[in-house]
Amino acid sequence: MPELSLNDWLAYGLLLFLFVAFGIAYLVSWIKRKQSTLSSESKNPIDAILHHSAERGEGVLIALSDGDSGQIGSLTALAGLQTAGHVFRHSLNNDTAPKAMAGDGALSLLSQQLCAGTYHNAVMPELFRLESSALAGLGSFAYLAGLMPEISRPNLNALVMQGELNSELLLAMDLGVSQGKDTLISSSSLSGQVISYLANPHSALGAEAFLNKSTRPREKAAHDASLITLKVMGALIVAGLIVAVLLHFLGVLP
Amino acid sequence: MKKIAPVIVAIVSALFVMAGIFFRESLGGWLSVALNWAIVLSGVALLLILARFLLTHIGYIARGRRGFIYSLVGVLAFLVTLIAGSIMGIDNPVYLKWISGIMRPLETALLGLIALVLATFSLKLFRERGWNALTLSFTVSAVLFLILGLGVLQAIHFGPLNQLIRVVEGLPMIGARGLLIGVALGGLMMAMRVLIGAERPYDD
Repeated sequence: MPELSLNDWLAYGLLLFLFVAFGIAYLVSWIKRKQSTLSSESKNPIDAILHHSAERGEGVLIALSDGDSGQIGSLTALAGLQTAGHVFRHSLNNDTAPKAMAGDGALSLLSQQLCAGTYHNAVMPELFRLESSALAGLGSFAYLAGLMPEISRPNLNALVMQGELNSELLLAMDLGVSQGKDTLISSSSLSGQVISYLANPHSALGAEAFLNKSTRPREKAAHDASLITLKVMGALIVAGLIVAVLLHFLGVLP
Repeated sequence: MKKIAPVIVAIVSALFVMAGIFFRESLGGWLSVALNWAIVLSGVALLLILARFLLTHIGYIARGRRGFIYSLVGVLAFLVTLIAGSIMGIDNPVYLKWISGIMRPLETALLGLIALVLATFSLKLFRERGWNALTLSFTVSAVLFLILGLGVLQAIHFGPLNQLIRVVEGLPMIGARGLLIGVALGGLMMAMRVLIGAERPYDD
């Protein structure tokens, strides 16, 4: 075991605290969810998008990550897959089926599997189409080139982007907005977050990029637990930074 | 069993990779073996999805779907690149020069387009959101950093002013760090949700 510095101990301590806080929050949320199954559902932009799409008989395009397997982008891609699953589950009987475009081979296959599973569980496997998930292109610009024709296709109501999306997402978003489509963006990349927030105030910032919507009790409990833990951790980090600044000015810390 | 097996595989793999990172000295060798498996799996997934990509576009061409010409260009470009790469080798300087000769101008053009669209969005900001704290702070910081970028103020060589410029130049870094801390925490939460099997994005 290598020798650990103060920073290493702090990082491990925070990680342990995060794990314990999440575990407690998850248990509490899970018990609460089980007790109150009739609790009112909070409105979410994705619900509004799904509602509009169903009303107009148009589809939703889900743009997943543009690759970066093994990086932090893979985690946002997983959050994007959860969102894709939610969209698939709630668009089973829509006139136009949703479509997911990914910038990574494994992600495309996972999305295809998710879509097939959704139709299978709903006892309507005959409605599943292999084209429901596709590879847009490998690499950020190839991904963009593959995504743009899909945004322009007819019978499309909304564009939902979630993943490691960089500044090039602006062109896709601009195309979507100019064609009057609802757009929802969650990017874990710094440049992507800044640009999307500038263009659309409903875009995700910071940790929000990893949040997703689900109506299943297990996933909802995890989502609620994440929100509680993030609030606690945020307060803890802010308090830690303020104490560190004070200690620095008092000459205790270098 | 069909539902449980993927969860067990996912959790065990995640715990093994975590253990490999914490105990690099004793498990480092095994970790690289596991990562190689992941690379092989992801390569196979890519092959499968590329085959699907080709079949879909060949289908579009065969049916004469509207815009099939783009599919034709895509399939031809893919095949030419694949065949040339297989014959010449992917490290061949001529092949690399040929690829970058096509890719670089296209990427640069797209970057230029992004800059233009970004400028349009900045101008549209006031029309769409009006005058508020966000738009005002955006304008002030944009103008301020454009002036600082000119280097005129730095050329004055006045001690307190240079110190002030250094403080102002550090502000975006503070904002970026705030966002990065949020991203890191969000990533950790997502990893934990997958690790305990609360979220199963690989299964429905």
